[in-house]
Amino acid sequence: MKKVFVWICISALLLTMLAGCAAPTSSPSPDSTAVTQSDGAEPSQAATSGEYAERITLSHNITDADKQIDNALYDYFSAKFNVDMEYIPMQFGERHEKARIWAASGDLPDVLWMDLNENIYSEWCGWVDSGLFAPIPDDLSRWPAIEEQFDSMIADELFTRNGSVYAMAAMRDMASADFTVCMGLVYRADWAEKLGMRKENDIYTWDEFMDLVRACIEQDPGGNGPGKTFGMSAPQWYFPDMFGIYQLNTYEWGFEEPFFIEIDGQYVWYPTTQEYIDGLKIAKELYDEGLIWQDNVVDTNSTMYIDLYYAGQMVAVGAHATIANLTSGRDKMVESFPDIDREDSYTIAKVSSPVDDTFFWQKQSPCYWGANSISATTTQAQRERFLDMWNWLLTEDGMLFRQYGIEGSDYNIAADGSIELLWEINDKGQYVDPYASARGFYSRPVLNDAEYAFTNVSIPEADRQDGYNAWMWDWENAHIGKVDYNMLYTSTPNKDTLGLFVAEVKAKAIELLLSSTPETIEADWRAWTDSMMPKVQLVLDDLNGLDYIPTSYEDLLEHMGG
Amino acid sequence: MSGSTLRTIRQMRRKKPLRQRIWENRYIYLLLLPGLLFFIIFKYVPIYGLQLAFKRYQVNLGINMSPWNGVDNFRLLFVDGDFWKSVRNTLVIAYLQILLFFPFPILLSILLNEVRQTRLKKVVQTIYTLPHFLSWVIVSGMVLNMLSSNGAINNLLAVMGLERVQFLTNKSVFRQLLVLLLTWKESGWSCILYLAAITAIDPSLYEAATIDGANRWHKIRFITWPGISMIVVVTLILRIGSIMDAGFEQIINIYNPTVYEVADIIDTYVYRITFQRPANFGVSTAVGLFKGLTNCILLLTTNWICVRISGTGIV
Repeated sequence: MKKVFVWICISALLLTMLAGCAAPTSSPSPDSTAVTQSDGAEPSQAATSGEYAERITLSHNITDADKQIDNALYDYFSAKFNVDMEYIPMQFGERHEKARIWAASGDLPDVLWMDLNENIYSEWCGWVDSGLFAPIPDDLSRWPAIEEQFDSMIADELFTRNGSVYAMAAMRDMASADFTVCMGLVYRADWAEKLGMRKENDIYTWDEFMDLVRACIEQDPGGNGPGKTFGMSAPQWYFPDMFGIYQLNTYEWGFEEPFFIEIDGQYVWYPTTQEYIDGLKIAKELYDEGLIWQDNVVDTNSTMYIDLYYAGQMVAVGAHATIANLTSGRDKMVESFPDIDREDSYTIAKVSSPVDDTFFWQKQSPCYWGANSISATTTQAQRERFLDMWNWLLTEDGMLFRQYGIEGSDYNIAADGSIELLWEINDKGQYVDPYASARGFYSRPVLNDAEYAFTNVSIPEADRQDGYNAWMWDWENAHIGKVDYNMLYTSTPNKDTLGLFVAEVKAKAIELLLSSTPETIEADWRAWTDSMMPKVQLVLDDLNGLDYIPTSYEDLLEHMGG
Repeated sequence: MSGSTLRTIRQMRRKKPLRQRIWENRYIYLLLLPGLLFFIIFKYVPIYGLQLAFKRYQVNLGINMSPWNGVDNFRLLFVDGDFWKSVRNTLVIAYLQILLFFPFPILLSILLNEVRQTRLKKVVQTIYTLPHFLSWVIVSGMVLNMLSSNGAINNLLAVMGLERVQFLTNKSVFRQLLVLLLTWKESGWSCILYLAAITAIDPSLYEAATIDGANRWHKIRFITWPGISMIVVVTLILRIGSIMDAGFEQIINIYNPTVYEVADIIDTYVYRITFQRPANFGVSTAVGLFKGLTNCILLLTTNWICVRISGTGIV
């Protein structure tokens, strides 16, 4: 008995430990030509006929992994392409960390999704050069939808290394509106209405909007009680820039931030400009006055700020006001307050610049959001199957599948071409999405263009209309900060090694909101930027092609005084 | 059992070869295996990767084939002001922990030992131990809700007509707050070790002391304290030996940019340079090596001092 007990204990301990060390469940082993290019590969008969004799497995990193498998969408997709998707769980906030760890440890998923922005672009280039990814075939005639997507965007050029494309971009925002995003403030229009301060079409001057925020805090139209109504807040990636810094910037942009801007043919570090400092001072004034929610500085996970809005305690929040965000935001407001005016509880405000009532700010985004790269360890069959799947998702049939599900059980197409949705309808008259959070993979090649997003009948008509109107209003009236692709995607030794100082700038700005005074903030900020300049100048010199561009890593160390 | 009998037993044991003794106690030794494997896999094998500190890591070449670059990673590290700031913060926070947190479980265990009502003692011990099982993620959520400017504590202060206090953004109180939270969360768990040591003290010593007219303070001073002092020394040496670990999980979950100046420790610095910038695994490993060597030196120094002072050490 003692022996049996000891063996059981040991086995259990060993198994527990080894389970943690185990590699993900088996992927197809790489073939002997794993890193060879698939250029010029002859389409297999199975692929062209739409039937696949060989069942394959594809691993892919994704958020909400647990919701992707057990549903009719997956069954349909899996059967159609004779594929087992092995979804590797990932939190959105750790996407860069995971990509770096997988790449460094040679443990990439068969298809790696990553947020391929400028913070990680140079590393991705290094991974490509190291042979971690397989190229997309030059000849895309077998995959016409992919070819068409490539033609409409710049991304395929950004993802080209040594003459081959190494990533499939997931588009975002509207190609037809030159990828203008709809970033700004969403606010309680119902409170503004109650206070008699709502403006026509929700267009406000800066001062008018701040007066509204001030009035809401003081007069408490939501009836929260004294001190329980807060002004404005934003997620960390927009904070504190959303409150003055963005609006004063008239230059070209980075992915989310204006890092380095070009003035008279020379790049300068945007935080050193008077525009940035003036914006910071405005944010400081708003913070000190209490118009910006005081705890925004400690909401590092960007959760509390929006919870307070949904709890009916916040006047306005910074948001990327896509149609999807409008719908989810409004639904949550109704969930919290069933009798609330749905549209007026989560309304897009158009707010002018603090220094010019006629200047409205908006920005362009790069033409893609994330991107998929195919691991070099995949087999030819896996790569072709993935491209077949991706190509189909980009077709009309694929888009209908992504948006509505399966024809016959989820929707029908009427004789006039309109969509008849078969989903259940709740007591508020809205469709209940049976596949919420289950479209992770199918949504990757998103085409958020008018043809699809604005005609998606599963989304409430008012949300589609409001989203469209806001987008078009920005496109026609706002100053659009264009993306500086050249600055973002130039790979230089210093820029690749030192990065773009985004986190440092944000952290210091937040620190000074609290620790500085209105009188000293400019001097404090300049003292800090001066202290950063030895590092920043290296990147500027790269970008400006001035006298010092290091030839090697060791050379860089020498230059830094090491 | 007489002294000569004990000596005979010891001699008999010594005569048996190691292999035989292991075989005779094989089931006991087998229980060592998982722990041994754990240390080999997670503590010893990774030492091989320390060579990265002297290499320029390239993913396609792996650890072995990446080119050597001498001490360049250390030079890059040592010219970075943020690194030295993180070293300073690590040391300050760790010493605060030793000064303010380390004695608390000892005190708690002595006090608990003095509680005569068993039920009360168990309730108190459970209350103190429970927070250990909450992760720092959960605790950070609680802290935000309690201590933010609109949190429960500040709302209470406001109701009482007092000024709200920015606990989480105030550089002058943030380190103390970290230690306070650590004390709340880990004191109960840490005191188990000392309670176990106290339990091992022969009860007849207390009985004899009572007969001799010793009061509680005398018993604590002359029986309990000497009984656990060995454990205290060992834990102190081990704590100082890991002084460069100032609590990554706690700080990464609770701090914010306004207190980086006083709360950014080596581990959070490594996290940032590895995962929030273009990754440089060589520099990250160099930091790890620096930290490990510093810990090792401190451990040996503390051990040497303890041996000199109390005659007790772990090496």
